[in-house]
Amino acid sequence: MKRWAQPAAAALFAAALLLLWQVLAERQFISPVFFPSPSRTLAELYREVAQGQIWAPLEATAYRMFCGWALASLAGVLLGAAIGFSRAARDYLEPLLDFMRPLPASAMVPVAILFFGFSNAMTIAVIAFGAVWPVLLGSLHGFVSIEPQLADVAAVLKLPRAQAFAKIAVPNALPDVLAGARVGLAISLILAVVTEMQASQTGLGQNILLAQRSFRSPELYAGVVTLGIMGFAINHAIVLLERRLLRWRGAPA
Amino acid sequence: MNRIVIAALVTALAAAPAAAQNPKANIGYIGAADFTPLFVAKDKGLFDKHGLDATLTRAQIAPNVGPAIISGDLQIGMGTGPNLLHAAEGGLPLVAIAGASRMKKENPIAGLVGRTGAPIKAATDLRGKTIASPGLNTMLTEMLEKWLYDHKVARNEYTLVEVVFPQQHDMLKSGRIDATITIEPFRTKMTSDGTGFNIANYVGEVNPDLLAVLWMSRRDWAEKNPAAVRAFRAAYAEAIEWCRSNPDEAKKIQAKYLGFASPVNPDYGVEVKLSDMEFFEKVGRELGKLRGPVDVTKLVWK
Repeated sequence: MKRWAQPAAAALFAAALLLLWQVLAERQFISPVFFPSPSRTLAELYREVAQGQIWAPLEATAYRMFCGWALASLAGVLLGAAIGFSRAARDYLEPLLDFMRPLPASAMVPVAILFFGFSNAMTIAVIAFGAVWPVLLGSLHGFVSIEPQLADVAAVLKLPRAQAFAKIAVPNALPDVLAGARVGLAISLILAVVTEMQASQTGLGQNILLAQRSFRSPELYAGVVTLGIMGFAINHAIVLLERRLLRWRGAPA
Repeated sequence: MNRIVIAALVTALAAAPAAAQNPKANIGYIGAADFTPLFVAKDKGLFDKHGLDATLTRAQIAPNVGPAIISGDLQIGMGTGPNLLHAAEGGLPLVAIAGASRMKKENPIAGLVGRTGAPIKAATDLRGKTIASPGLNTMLTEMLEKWLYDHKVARNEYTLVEVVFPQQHDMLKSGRIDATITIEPFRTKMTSDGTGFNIANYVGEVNPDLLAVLWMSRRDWAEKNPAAVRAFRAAYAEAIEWCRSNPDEAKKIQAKYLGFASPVNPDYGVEVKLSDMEFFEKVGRELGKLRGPVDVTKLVWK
């Protein structure tokens, strides 16, 4: 009974918001030119799906997002592990990373264009730069904060460094790494859209920008809704992955 | 004698509130040489003379001007033909009330420049190339698409990327783009230092007398303020004449408002013809930028 009650309540809440949107739009609370009703927005989305217009930009955006995120996650885990596990790496890299972390990724677009041109490689580099931080910090925290008792166990058992890493450090870091990767995925989607807008790469981001410039607000909102659905789907995918990978922890208390 | 003084006083008193009641208009423009007559009309008091209380407001980019007119921040604002057509299709009640500038074949202030060494001689050589545009879906870009379309080069055979005018030189030099849509003075800079070469005066080939920039307002504002529209047009026409007879002083006023004096200037013109908008409408439909026909007779204010 309770298992479906909660999602049903959430769906009902979303439906209520949708209804409010429809009423506000119909009352012309804001000019319908800039604020289309959900029915007009969904009709436009339906038209794009029916005519097959949506798939190419959706695929382009998803591809960039995924590649950028994968690169960011890989680099984040490797760097995080290196810094967390080695005193020397921490001394050399930490100040540099602290310096780079606050740089806005979208400000890197012009630099990336000069290096990679107007290409997918450029977009992926920018996404990876922006999305690496949550994974990096998560994995750093995960590798540093090993339970003292577990460290003692490793010492008592005289585990070699490599085995201690694989059997104790990695499982300990995994929850933090996955939490970081989840945040990183959302950032990747945002940056995929931003770079498409800034560097004229075809995709959902560019479609939204062009729709805005041509005063096609239903098309603009249809793009935003598509991004929302994408965000919802990828977040759920990674939650499922998390549950699977962390099954050994048992249900949280 | 007294009578004359009293008569003069009465006239002055009657005139004072009349002058204060001049219709107000906040006019939006962007930083370009096309708007020199606007600066002159303001600077030389021509708007006041013709009965318009005008304030000038500079917008950062052209796409922001239309929404600002709709929201009521601006009463009059700059735009282009394609801009107005997209607005009409999107349901924005905007009309063209006057012209601002034209691009004539004999005075090509915009063109297509190729990277030195790139094997581009004709439109068909642009297949597979990356071309920079100052803004996707802008008038200059749409005219390039039309030029390529006329030469049987399909839209999916070339890549368009957005690069603002000041960055085009470096992009061309670094080889990240093969060609670029550009305007003066950027074009002369690229071609004179050997970075690029002129491919074509494509705008002139597409239309030898093109309406480049126009002035728009909300339809209901134009309906309620016919005197303001007339005053704007009259002041603008006089400012254009003034620019023609005082080119050096016009340049100074231009520099005062823009921060730079443009080495070349477009052809100013206050007229908007129905045929101007018909041309853009036809091109918009040809290129698939418009989803259906747009009734242009409703877009040009009589």
